[in-house]
Amino acid sequence: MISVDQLTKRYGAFTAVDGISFSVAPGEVLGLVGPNGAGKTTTLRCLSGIIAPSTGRVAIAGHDLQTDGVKAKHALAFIPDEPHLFEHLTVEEHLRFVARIYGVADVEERIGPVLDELELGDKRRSLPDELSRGMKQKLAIACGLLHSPQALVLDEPLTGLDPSGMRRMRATIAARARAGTAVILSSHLLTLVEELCTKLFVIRHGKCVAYGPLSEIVSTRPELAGRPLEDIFLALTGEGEHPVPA
Amino acid sequence: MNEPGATSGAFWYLIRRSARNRLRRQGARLRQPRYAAAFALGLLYFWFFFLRSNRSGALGPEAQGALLGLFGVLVLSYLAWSWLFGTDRTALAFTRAEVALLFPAPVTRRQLILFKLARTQFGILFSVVIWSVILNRAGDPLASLMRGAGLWMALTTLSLHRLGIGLLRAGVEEHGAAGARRSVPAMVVFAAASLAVGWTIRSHWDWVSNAEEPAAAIRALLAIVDLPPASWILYPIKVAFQPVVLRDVGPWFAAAAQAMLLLSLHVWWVLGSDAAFEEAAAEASERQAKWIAQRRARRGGGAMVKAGSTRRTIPLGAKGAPATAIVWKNILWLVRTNQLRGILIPPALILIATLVFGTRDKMGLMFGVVSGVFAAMFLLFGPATMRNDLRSDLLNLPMLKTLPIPGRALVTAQVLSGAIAIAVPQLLLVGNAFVALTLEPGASRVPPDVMLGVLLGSVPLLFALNAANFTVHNGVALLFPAWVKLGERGTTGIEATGQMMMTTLATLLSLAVLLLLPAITGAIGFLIFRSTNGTAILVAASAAGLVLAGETWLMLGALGTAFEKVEPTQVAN
Repeated sequence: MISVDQLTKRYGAFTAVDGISFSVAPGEVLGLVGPNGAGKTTTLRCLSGIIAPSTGRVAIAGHDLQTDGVKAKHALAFIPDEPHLFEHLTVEEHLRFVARIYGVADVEERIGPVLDELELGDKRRSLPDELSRGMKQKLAIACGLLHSPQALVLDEPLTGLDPSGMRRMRATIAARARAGTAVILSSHLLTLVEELCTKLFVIRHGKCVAYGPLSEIVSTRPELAGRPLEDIFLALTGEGEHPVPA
Repeated sequence: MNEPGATSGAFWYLIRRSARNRLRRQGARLRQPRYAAAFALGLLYFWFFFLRSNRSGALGPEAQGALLGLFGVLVLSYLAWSWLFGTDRTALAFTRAEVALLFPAPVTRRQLILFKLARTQFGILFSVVIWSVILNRAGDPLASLMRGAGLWMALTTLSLHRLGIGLLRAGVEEHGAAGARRSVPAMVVFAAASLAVGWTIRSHWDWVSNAEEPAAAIRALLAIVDLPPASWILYPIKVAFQPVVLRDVGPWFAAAAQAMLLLSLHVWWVLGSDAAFEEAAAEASERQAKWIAQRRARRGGGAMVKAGSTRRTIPLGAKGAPATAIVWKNILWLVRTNQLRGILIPPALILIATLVFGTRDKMGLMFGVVSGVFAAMFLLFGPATMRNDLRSDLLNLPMLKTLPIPGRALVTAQVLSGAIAIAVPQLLLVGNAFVALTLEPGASRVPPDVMLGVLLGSVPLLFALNAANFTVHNGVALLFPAWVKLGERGTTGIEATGQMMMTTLATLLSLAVLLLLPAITGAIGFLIFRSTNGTAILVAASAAGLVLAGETWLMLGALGTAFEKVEPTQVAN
């Protein structure tokens, strides 16, 4: 469903992402993790068509993002960590806008359930300026989910959400995956990653340092067996080499 | 609590480093050719319009008095309004970072006020320098120094007075009824003062009403406010502003001493305040941040969505071309910012005038011409004022790039958003011109076939011209995003002026090149059918419009490819 082959992104002499490859099948949830500046956001931006790869190939639902971008994007939803909303469109109008763009014919039937799912039902006529940070995030998520994408890319989806919103969001991601959506989830919340992801892609300095189901990753590093994900993450990324101040 | 010296040191450090970093950042930007060129062009503009003239800046005694009277009335009106209605709460505003970092810090209120006063001085000193340079056309350094010092005293006193009002009103809120009682005397004094000035003007209003020309009326008004009791009430304001206008050294020093005394009294008043102003200041800070955003939006050609505007909407179906949603979104923005209503007012007024006066001799012809002129003005200035296209939407580039819409379709939708909106008043004006010319009686009437040719021919031509114009504006934004003000973001000051001039020149040049082929085609069409005027006009306009539309279509294709390649990092200013 999502296929990434030898993806590289360079900015001048700096290589942000260096020849990474992975794939996410329908129903799988890939956790993209790595320290700050590792290349996660650049990877996600390449996957969603915001920036073009320097070399390599990204395909969504079998469509090459570079040569068949419209069809590839039609199958995809990207939910960024910072919601980008139109200041003059209400919550409901954002959804109608998205429905027209993605050709969601049964928009009338979908709007209500999506707004209820994200607890935005009583904010239908509110402008983004009248929403809290968490509600804006929920609206961005609602826009992403409305057209039932085959591939879902989420960058820190829980940012700004309250505990109830976080729980609902976790349930939503799990439900979408069960329904056959291929999900890529980037987050620093390792408990979220551990709970939802079927496999991990650990990135550092733009390169892959580990990829596969957690059990497979641990099997290549027996000393990590039985350790919490945080320890595994720190060991894989080399972040654990720095002593923690007492 | 910190030692006072340590706190003031920290504040001074904050002010100093902020100013230094700001200057360094602007200096660093000037190393980029585009900003350097814009800065140079902006400087040239200011020199040409403000500094080049060598006229004498000296004012005669009569003009000095008039100016002081004018200052007096304006400042008194402003202060009275502030005292009575308390609308000037931004005087208490700090920046959001200052509220977040300084308010919870272990510093006294007096220290916060001192910090506020010190920071305000930067703005005042900058204004003083700019105005001293602009006003010193005679090149007299002593006069410039005296005017600068006078301006500094006047502006500082005014700033202190605003701050004092803000603190007093914050105290009212803090102490409830008791606080309100404390501010009552001041409010009564200002209300009485305003009434006394109003009474003086009213008593001698015949001086103004008998004046034969506007300038004489203004002179009469100024003479009235120089009479007691208005002159007594305006005396403190005159004291504050007198050093700004006086040129002779002796009288200037005497006036400056009085102005300094007034300033010192204000310092004593403000620093003596014990009001808990933090909450009011935090509110004012938020308000000011929003106001700055609005001001930037307006300067960038943008506009803010009005409260309650969501009641007005346009339906959007789920089926149809996806790019239509972009046009819908952009037109809705015009509706909700009242811009669409704004551009429909001129044609509506001209239509009313035409229907009322159009049948009089030559009036129909005049209204026809006026309609044509307004339609042309919309064509020329429409894209500069109406930026409901890529020039606003490029700030949402990451989101736009994820939409499953081909680049050409997306850019075309953005261009059409503005072109369609501008076409509405233009077509109304063309229709109005037709009505006006039809109403024109007798010999002045334009032949019907010419009127019909202009009416029908203008439709394709205006659409093509609008589309081409908006395409060029959007193209400049897409290809040179750093040169164009995008939404609220962009450079300010001299650089902004220079950038605006450069983009205007580039746009006009591109349009001139684009219009070459359509103009030749139109001329050929006109010559072929020149025996029948109406048909010739229609053919010429249609042919020119068609060729221009073709050129625009090719440009949209190229811009669509450019859109697909552009990355968010290129757009960030």
